Amino acid sequence: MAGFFAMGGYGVFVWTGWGLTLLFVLLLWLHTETRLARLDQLLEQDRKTAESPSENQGE
Amino acid sequence: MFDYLANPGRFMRLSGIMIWPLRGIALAGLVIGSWLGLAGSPADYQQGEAVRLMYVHVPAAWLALSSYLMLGLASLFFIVWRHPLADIAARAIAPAGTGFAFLTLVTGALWGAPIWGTWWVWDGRLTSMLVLFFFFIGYLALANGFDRPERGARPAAILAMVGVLNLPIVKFSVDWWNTLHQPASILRSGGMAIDPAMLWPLFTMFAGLQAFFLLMVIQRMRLLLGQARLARLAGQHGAS
Repeated sequence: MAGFFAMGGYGVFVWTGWGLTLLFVLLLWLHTETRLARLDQLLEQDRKTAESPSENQGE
Repeated sequence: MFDYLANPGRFMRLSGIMIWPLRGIALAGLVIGSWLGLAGSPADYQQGEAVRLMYVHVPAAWLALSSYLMLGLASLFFIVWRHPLADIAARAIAPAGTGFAFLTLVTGALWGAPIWGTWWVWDGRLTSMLVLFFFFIGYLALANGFDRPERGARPAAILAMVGVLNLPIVKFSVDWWNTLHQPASILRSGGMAIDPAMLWPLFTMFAGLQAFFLLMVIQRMRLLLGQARLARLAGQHGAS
């Protein structure tokens, strides 16, 4: 196992390159999906507010 | 065809169908590609295990170039037909494209350090790739640098179209000038110069990253359209 991680002495270069690539994928994916979920919540909230005229008239 | 797809409502419906298949292809491609690239493929007879950087560096470079071409085309559609969906497509392409251009430069430096003996040289391929990265940064700065996004759309689109001129320079720099960077191994006239044992991990990683890129573009377009709709609704509520 140690040999696998050492990558014949190139481990620091190989793992840094792969790590940065996969980290970029993970962060951009999470960031985008989280923002979309938040936006869906806001749109749903807005739709509910628009559908309840009594609340709007009360203001 | 363009007019048919350029309808935001139709885009939301069609793109909604593509999200789960793209998620599946991206995840499967990245998991299988990572296993093949890190453990399931042979070391190179000259570069040893350092060759495994190819499986992230080359797909990142292909995606940086193809995403910039898409950015340029979307900008052209925006300038010529002034369709807002083309501007939204360009704005959705840019962040992922910038990330892939950055990864190309970083993984290239990490590959160059042990194999070339240097992190960086100012040769044709590396310098033109750095210029491409700066075009992406310039686009992001212009597109997002104004209080009202529509004010930055036109200058950003013009910059994006100018940057397309750099794409053939990146591609053919290794043929036009003497560079430290190796010539093309896959997209070349004499056929592919790479063993199938290394080709499959490369294509699998590319498929995974390409699906991820398309997913990010579609999701960010949906996000930008949703934000615009929310702003419109807020304006209507404010007016009533």
